[in-house]
Amino acid sequence: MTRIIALIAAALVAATLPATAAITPSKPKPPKSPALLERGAQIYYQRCSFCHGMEGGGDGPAAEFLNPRPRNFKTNVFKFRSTGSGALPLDEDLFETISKGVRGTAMQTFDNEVIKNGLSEEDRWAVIYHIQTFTEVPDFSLWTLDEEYAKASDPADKALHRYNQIMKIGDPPASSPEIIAKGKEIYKKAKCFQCHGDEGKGNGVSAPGMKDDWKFPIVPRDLTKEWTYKGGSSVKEVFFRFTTGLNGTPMPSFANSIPEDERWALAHYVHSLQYSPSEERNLNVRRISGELPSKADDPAWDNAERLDVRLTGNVLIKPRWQNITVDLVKVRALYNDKEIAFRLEWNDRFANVIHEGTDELHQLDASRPGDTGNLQTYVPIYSPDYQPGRYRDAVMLQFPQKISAGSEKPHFLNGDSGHAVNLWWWRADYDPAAAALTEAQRKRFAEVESRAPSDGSATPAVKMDIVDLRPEDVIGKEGRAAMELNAKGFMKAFTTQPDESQTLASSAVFNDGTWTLVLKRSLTTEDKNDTQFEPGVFIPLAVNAWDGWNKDTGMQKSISSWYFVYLEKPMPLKVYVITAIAFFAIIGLELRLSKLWRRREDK
Amino acid sequence: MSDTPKARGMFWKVLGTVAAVLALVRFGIPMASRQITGMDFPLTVPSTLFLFYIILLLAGTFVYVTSNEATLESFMSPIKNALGGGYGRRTRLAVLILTPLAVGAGAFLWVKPTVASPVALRIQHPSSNFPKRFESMLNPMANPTDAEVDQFIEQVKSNSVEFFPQVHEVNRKFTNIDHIPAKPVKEFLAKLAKGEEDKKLAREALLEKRLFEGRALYEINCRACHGDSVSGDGPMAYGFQLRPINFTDNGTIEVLVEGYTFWRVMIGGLGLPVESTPWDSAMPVWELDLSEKERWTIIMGEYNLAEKTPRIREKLE
Repeated sequence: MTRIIALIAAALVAATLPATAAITPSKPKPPKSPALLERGAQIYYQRCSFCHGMEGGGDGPAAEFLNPRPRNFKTNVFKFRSTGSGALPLDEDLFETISKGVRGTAMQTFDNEVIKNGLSEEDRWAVIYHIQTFTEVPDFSLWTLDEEYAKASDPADKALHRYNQIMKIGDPPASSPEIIAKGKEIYKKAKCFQCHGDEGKGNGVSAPGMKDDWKFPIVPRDLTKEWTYKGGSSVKEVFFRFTTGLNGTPMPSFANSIPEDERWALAHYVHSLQYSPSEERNLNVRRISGELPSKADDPAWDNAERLDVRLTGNVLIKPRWQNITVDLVKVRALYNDKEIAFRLEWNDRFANVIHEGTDELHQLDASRPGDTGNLQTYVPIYSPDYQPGRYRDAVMLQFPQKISAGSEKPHFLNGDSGHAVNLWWWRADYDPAAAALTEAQRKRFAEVESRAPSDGSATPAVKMDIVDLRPEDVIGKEGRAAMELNAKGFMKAFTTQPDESQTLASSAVFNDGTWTLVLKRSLTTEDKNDTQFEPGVFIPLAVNAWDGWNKDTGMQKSISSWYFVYLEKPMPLKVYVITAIAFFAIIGLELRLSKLWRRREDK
Repeated sequence: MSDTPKARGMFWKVLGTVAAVLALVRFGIPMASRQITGMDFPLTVPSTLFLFYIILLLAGTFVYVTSNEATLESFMSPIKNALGGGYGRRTRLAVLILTPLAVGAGAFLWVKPTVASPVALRIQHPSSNFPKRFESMLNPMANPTDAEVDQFIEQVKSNSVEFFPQVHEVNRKFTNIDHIPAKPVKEFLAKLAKGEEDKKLAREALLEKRLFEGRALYEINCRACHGDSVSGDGPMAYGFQLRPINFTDNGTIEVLVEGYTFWRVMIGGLGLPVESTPWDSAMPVWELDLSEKERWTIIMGEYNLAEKTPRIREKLE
């Protein structure tokens, strides 16, 4: 019997273990040979060259549209290594990157145990050897130099060989509140906030205008977004990133400036900042008595349930866009007998409150800078004249105009010709928050300027909420920040409802890289173009968002699929009745039996 | 041997067995299913089947317990003792209070309305609005005519090979095929250098060139969602409730004739009939942005990347 139990227990334990993919090779790597190199060249052409380029220059046909840009192998610079700053990666490091891919980017896993048409271990080694043949300078490559170091007799040269530059690390210490608190200290001491921001949202004072070694724009990671850690989000992986540094980017190695135990603490702290969105697709809206909260920081919101709405790029129609920054909007909602209020919260490194782009939301026919007529199905991001100008931050809630009893809905991207949607559009440049932000920032500028060193040395950086603010900018536009619109698909112009139908109230706050917005409307209206909110009905909801700093405008935006909001109904009476019946029936039965059995025993 | 060891502690044995079996059905089977299917979601036991298990289990234990006096007595004695005061007044009071509370809570959870967002059933390969003429179509790009082959040879010779604008433009100006390291291309070019025009090799080289374009067009236009693994796991895929199709899956492009794949690429999500929930589909209407030739070329690249071949249409006529 015990054997059977043990077997069942073992089976259960085995069932819970995730199938692990091989990111470390299971067999020793094959030696480099001409045949293997030729095989590598064939695989490289078929699977790698369309992004990384025929000659490894990171300039394949798809490269124009990708951020981060595909690695240029010719420069022999690699981000993910277990070797010291500036060193070449180990073959095993490259094996790991090819096997697991780079999260959130076009570089996906090539492990044939994960994807059906993946590469076998031998194929991966072949490709690794092949990419070590690329070089910018014909007679010189870091890879050949490295091979010479391997053979060198001089110990000083020998030490430069990449396999002699492995960063040795111990086992990670366990997480604890103390170690996280210590890590927070290190975060301040090492000035991580300078780029990554006070709360790790990637909005530090040095963040605007950063470039990588190839002069392409780059942003510090928003450390709160677990799914965007390119090299992996575990404590150990995070530790490696700031131990080895990311070659080619402004992220340096801290191996020499921070002792190992402090780096572990920092890794634990960074890990503690990570947020993983839930997979829930329905927002349960609680009913409260009394007034609904109209401010973003009202404690009443703590009692509201939260829905994590995932956003992705508009890839459906031109201008298609796969480099969005707003990829998560946290939505909460509450209702009372008269109104419903939504609170939206999303990370956005910088506020954008000036708008020089279009006010049209549908697909425009006119070609735009960077959009060369019918040629570019996606918006390229590296064209120098691509969309100059400044654009606002904005967000939009979308509901079907009529809620269908079945599963039929308007198309999730702003409806279709047969099904209209009701849109709640909020624009930062019309919100009073814009004026407040501008004033605060100008004050900070003035203050720093008044303390500017007279010797002409650089003035200290100012905390930026708005990165593209100019002295002549007039902030505080007349008009509604939140508007009600209707649309029947992205081909036709969206219609703004007449003034008398505009009843949406809004209130927004921007604080340290996060917008928080409250939108409020009555549950039902007289307007036939408005969505009517009825308790006990699943109401489809979608979210669109624009980050002006990311040049989002018009149809170039973040979009979501349909989610649901459900206004909780009061508990039906029958639930209480059945519960009470069950409770009292059991009590009655128990008392009866208890009496019966006691009497018997008494006899 | 009136008090057999079998009959001792019958109440707890029954309770333990019932709990173990229910746990196995409720948690064990879904857990095992993940291991068997290799999917990252469990397959739960349907509620009606679950009810059947409970009924069978209770009937079985009832028969077992009442099969003889000793087991019945052993089963009943803890209940009688608890309610009759055999375990002391305190236990009796606790059982008297806790049992109805537990049953009441159970009943409450049972009848409480639960909220689950509606799920729409979906037909993956609809045919209700599929125009018949597409069914017999063959991919013209995969079947070049002799004239096309001749034209291709001339273009290679004059170093003016035509590529689709999307593949050719910006900083990559391809005018010939020597960047394609495929065997037929190499052989064809080698023979051409010697002044030989091998038509058969030229045809194979032309197919390689088109495959190159197909892959490039796929990587530019489709990769963001369907992924460079063609597994429906591109960097944009996470945001769509209806996930992009995994072409390496055995139930997708492999069971479809090429004409059907072509039609689906053409009409996108918006062109689907209602049974295929067009409102959830993120598939672009490629008819608007890609030419017919570009679409056929992409389909060539797509089947090739997925290491699949289209279904061969059976002869009906």
